[in-house]
Amino acid sequence: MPRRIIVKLGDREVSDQPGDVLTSVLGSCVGVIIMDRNGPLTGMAHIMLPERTKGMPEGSRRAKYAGPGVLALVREMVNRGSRRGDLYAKLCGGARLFGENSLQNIGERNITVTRMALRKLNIPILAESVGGETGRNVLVEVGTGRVVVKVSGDSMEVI
Amino acid sequence: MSELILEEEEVDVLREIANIGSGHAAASMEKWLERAMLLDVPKAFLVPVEEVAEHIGDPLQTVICVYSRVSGEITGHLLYTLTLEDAKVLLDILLDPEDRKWGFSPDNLSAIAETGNILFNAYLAAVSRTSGLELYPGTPACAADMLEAVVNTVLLEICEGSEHTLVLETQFCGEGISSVGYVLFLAENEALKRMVKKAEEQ
Repeated sequence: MPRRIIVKLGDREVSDQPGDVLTSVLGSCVGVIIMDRNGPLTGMAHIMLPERTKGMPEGSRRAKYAGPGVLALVREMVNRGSRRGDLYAKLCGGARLFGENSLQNIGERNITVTRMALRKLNIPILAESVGGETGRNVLVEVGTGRVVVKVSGDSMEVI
Repeated sequence: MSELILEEEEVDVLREIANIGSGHAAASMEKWLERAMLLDVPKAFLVPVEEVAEHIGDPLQTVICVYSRVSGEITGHLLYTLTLEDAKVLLDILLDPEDRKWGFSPDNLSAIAETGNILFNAYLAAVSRTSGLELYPGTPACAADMLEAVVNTVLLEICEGSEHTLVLETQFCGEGISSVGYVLFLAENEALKRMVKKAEEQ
């Protein structure tokens, strides 16, 4: 039975079952999707913040911060049999919902730091749906490599 | 540094402060909409950050949300959130029939933002008086988007020090109308604790 697996705020999920769908709703958060060229193994991390502010507790969330979140997802995929060199990424999210001059632009910083973390690990980013001013409902199809990105209303794109 | 936990007694004090804030907000809403408002006691729920959206409503539904940062002696966040049905009810009251046909145009959204502004000012003025903390609303910003995207975006501002967040939620209903949206007040646990402490010294 294909499953719909919700990737919660600050968490990650991995599946190797074709037909499963990994899903998250993203505003300023960034969804890092990592796929394997040689198999169905697919993972997604729901990154909340670019980095930890000094003095703040680490907390228990596995993908709260961009750097450790990306690293831990890649490690889990390698532990489950992927070769590091076969991995590639897709990025979604990092929007600024309330326009200029309101909240800090966490979305943009999330995108920047996540890209840096992937570059450090030599994982190429093959597609992105990032930035802008709208939230995204992201559906990652395990096995096909397709990522469906829906925005509020009817419009959607596949990356 | 470990996580600051809010005690049950503190939540009770905060619910009472929200209750007073909401009462004043309802009074300002009555003047603005020229009709009597009915108000429930605010809900106060302490939930893990990732579950906040689902406690408020359907995470995927589109909502109109007016946001304002609260500054002063503590930092907090106010949201005035309306489902599309709530927003339609509100616009039917506020607008001439001629303007209603534009739906959620920028001009019509600004009528909703202004409603949020009125609610926030009244709410905060009462919270300030009750708690003894000087608090000011910022310029309101408006978004129409999925509930979970909107709520989580604001939560990112307060979630760093805590795994759980207190949500103070008040639904606004008027005579003969089911709902014209709800107001959410969010702040870091440390700020909420300071609010309780100051209120108890009053």
